[in-house]
Amino acid sequence: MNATNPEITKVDASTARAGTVPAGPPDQRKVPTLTGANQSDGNLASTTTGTQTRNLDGVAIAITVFSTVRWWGPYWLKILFAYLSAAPKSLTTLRDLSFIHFARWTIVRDLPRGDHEKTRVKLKYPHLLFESNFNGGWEEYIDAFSYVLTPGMAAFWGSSYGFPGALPTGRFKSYIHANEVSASHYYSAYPDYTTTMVVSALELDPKVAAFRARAVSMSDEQFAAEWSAFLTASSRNL
Amino acid sequence: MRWISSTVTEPITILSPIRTEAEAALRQYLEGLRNDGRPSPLSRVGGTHFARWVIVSHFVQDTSQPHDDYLEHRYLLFTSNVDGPAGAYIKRLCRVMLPEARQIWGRCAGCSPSVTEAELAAYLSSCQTKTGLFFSAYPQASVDDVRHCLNTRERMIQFVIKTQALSPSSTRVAFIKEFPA
Repeated sequence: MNATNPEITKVDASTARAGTVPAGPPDQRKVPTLTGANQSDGNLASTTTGTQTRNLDGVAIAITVFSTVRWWGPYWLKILFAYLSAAPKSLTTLRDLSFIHFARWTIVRDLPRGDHEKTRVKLKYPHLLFESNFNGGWEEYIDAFSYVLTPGMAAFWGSSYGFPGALPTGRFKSYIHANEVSASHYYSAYPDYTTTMVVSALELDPKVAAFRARAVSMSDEQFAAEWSAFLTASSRNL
Repeated sequence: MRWISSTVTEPITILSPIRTEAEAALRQYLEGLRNDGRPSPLSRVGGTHFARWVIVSHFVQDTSQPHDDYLEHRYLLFTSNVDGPAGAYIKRLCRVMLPEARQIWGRCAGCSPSVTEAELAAYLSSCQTKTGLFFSAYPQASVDDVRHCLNTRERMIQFVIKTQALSPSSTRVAFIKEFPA
């Protein structure tokens, strides 16, 4: 890539985490703050939970993170991705956290040049793109990730330059802040609903349909007993 | 079991180089899409669960890297979590929101501001990057499934509140009426 391009934020992992000014051309320096050293127009409002407002749609929050990966990272990550894809139960912990709608990890090794031949330009380093659609607060999200998925964090980001480890969370949050890119536009098809609400609704709907089918032929006495049992069984979905 | 459909959610990742002179206008356009309370144009594209546009100005260079890695262009990242297949979704997006799509990707290198629907679909497909690992909390549910079930849940909550004082007989009649087969 172009070695003279000044469009850069240079972050020393240690100084960024200490909250000092990172190296780099003066007009490009960005100081890690509560809302991060991430790429934006520099004029973004943020919520009390540390989320920039353009990363929000209702209760849904977007996070987009690029990290630079060591040469061996793609080999390791491909094995990891293959294992996790083949053994979906290994993602149970992620599912149990119950605040992530969708997430993805993508290795970016080259980019389209935008020419008519549709050629691609190879990057000097591979980069790991992580995006998540979740609900809750940014800080709580990273905390949960760090404490519950500590080994997982090392598996995903251990090959990235500057990864400080998942714990203590302060350093990891600074790392994510420094590598996060703000959305210019974010959309959710059901912005008022959390992951738990969606999963609950998907579980509840067939239960309602099944109970309704049986209710048609029930006596009042039978309905009274079964209605109570139905509500008890469905209470976790309401 | 209406909500269990054959649809499987898929990730779409598109990275397009932004023409240097167009970046500020593109950023302004994207950030203004919801001005005056307008809905996102993505709300018209059926099968969109969550999506975003992100302008990537540079990669953060960590000091532990032996070499810096600069971008020649700023890139527009578009990601969407969609009801598959992805190819059909891209075609749908190009058809349903062509005017907005021209304003967005027409500012990218290799895409004309007057691009046709078919040309745009081909352009976006050529700019796709394969996703390594995709997680979905509800991989078998389409957007319509999710909305339908959320509606059922809301109605059920209201129903339980409304019928607390009713007799079993009245509750049964009301339930069958509220949730028709």
